[in-house]
Amino acid sequence: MGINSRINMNEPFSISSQTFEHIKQRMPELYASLAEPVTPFFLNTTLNFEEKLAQIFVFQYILNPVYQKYCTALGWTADDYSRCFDELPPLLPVQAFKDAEVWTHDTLVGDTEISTFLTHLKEDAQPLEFLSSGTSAMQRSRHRVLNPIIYDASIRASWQARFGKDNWIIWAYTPGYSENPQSSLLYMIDRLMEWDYTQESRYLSLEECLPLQQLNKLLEDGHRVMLFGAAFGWLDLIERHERENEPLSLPRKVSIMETGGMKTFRRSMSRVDLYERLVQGFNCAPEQLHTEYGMTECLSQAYTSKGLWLESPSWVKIVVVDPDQPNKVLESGQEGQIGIVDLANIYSCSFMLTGDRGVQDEQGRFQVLGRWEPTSLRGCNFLMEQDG
Amino acid sequence: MDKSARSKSHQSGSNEVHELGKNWSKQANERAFLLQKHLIKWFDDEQSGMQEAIQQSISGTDFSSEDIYFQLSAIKSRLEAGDLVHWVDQCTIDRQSTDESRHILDAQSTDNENKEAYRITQLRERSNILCIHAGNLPLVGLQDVIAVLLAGYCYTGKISQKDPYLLPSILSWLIQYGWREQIQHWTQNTADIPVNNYDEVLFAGSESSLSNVRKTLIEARILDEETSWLNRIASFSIAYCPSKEAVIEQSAEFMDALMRHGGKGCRSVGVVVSPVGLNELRIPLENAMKNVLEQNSSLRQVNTREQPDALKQKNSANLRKAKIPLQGVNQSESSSLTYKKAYNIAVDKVFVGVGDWLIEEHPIEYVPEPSNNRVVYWVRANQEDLVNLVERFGSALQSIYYLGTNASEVKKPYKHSFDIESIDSAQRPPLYWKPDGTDILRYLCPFII
Repeated sequence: MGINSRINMNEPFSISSQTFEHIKQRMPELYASLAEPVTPFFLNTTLNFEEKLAQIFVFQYILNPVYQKYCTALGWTADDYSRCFDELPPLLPVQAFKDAEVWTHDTLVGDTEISTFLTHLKEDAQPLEFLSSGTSAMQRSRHRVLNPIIYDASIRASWQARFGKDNWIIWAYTPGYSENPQSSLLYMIDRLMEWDYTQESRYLSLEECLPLQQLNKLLEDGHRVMLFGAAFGWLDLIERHERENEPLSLPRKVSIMETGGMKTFRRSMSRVDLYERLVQGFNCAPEQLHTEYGMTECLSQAYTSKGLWLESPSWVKIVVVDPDQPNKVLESGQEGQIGIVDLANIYSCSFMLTGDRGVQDEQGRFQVLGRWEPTSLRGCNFLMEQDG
Repeated sequence: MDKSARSKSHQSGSNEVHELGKNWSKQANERAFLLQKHLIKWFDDEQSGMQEAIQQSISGTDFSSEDIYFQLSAIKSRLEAGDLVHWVDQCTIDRQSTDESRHILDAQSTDNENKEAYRITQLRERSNILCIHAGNLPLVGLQDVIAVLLAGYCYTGKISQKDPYLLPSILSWLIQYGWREQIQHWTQNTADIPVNNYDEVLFAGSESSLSNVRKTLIEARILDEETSWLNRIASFSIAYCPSKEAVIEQSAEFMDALMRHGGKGCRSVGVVVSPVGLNELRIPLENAMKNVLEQNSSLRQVNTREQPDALKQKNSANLRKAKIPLQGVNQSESSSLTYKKAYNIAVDKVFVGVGDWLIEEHPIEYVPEPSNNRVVYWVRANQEDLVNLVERFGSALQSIYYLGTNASEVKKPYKHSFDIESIDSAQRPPLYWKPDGTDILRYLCPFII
């Protein structure tokens, strides 16, 4: 029994058999990759980024009903394969992951049901399902990852693209994955820990200071260590060390990964201020600080390459778009809403409009400037007008 | 001033404040009567400058002629109904006894009460009030001007560059009728606001813009840090719709509440709460929205073809029947709605879309605060849920309207400042309506409370 039979799918929806045949002929690489995946399609090296993008667009148009309806309403069809080379396909707001099931579903072609090509998976392979953080009273994003192998491949490749193939020991100043199996971030950290051959990776107690002695021992043994934690978690840790009069002086070979969470119920600060506080609090060099940008809806991650600028892996394209016309990509230096094309999201949606405000430089690196707050158009909104 | 100094000041000022309250009532009544008369004259007198201000506004602002005429018509009818005299009477009648105001000044008052009492002692006859006017609707700042004048205080205004003709026209007219002593200055430029030891600032705007405005004025030394501000930040209103029939019977008023002024203004409806689902009302709502847009279209064509003289002759008629305008939507707003519609289709969200307008159904748990003028949220819920929603929206919410004949049927939410208003008053509020639940006249004259 294939995995599909265990997933509670909606009723299959119909496309014409002519369209489907057309697709099979035009995207044999994707078809082959899905049928017998030696290498995940997003890592395929025989096609360039745009070619893969175009094939994924067509695939998702056919098999993802939410994305299909969105595209159709904006005038796109499954025949728009070539159009993808000139412009970005519609970017679906990530809010859709809260409002609907944004993943590929079995499809009827004429009288034949076409599966989402997952029948090759092992019998025991289970889909993953992640939820964005929040309380039960909040509407949370739901991302069903039909093929966990692809997520694992993306985590590893994203990491290696930034930090190389050397072994890293991961210490996470976060809650454990086993208690939070719905967190995509903790799943990622858990995989990184799993791949550490020393098995020294672990979750640290949130109630204790950093075990500096043990850390130094690992460094003496020649290991590389990355500390993972949310921004407010690091600030808590610094405060704890200050309170307990245990000054922190982070060894130069240790790196810190800040995973977001800038705005909490108790404080909100700019990224520049946060970095200054972390450098001062850890008594470390700015180069030791890294930031990870990822989200529940997205299977790939971007990491800072230098300072505040984030760099995405080769199968991810970041764009900054006009919030009122998300098909309009803004020039570098202009602030707008961040759009993501993540080719690893093959069984959900690769074309996403985030709720984040950002800016991009000429090399395609980007910064996240905060949440995109729609301009308050209602009410007696008064902005100090420019005089004269 | 420290707490003990304030307290001392309150006690010594107690009797004085009491006397002030008594005298105020009599004088305010006279002012209300006169002001009402002079304002009505501005509408009726051909030489008042109103016609010119209307023409300038039609050609030189973003307001549609329909919105301008509608607003003027609404204000005029409220003046003729005696709103100003009624406003003052209301304050005077509600005034229980001087004991109450004395209580505020008691030595055992809480810190908040002390602060308020200190404000009372500072507000005297001829206090200087700086009004920073919003410009999103025609003459939206007039209420503040009226309140300052009724209070007997001196007015200085920062006129919005979005509405630069109508209010100055009224101010100039009033000066001719003897209000010079109170109307001191108005300007469109911040730099030209005179330094005048202001006792109070009346501000309408968003919370986020407040700090910038305040900083600019303090840096320019127009104000000091101690000057108190009344900031009105509400951004939308809720309509409660008890039945399908109510929507059908009051569709014109309902559409006015949603669509008038392009949905701008905190009195416009941004959220509809109803036990009836949007799907059940799809057809009547679509028809009502189409009707509004079609009617407007014809009116607009007439207006744009007409020459100023012809328009002038028809002004009185226009004041009586201004329809809801189509204009005011820009290209990016329109494009943004195209994406919103596509999104609603994609996630199977129930919505009604006509022209550039959208009504979307949201579950009550997740309905967001409305941010787009032309997107109204529909929440399928009963009256009990309405109370929770009011609590959740907090200070962003201006008013709650009721469709149907008996507004008192709606269980009043916990917040005292909310009156349940009839839907037909949404865009034609009395001149004494309470922005953000605050009666400006009472706020300016705390000694009469």
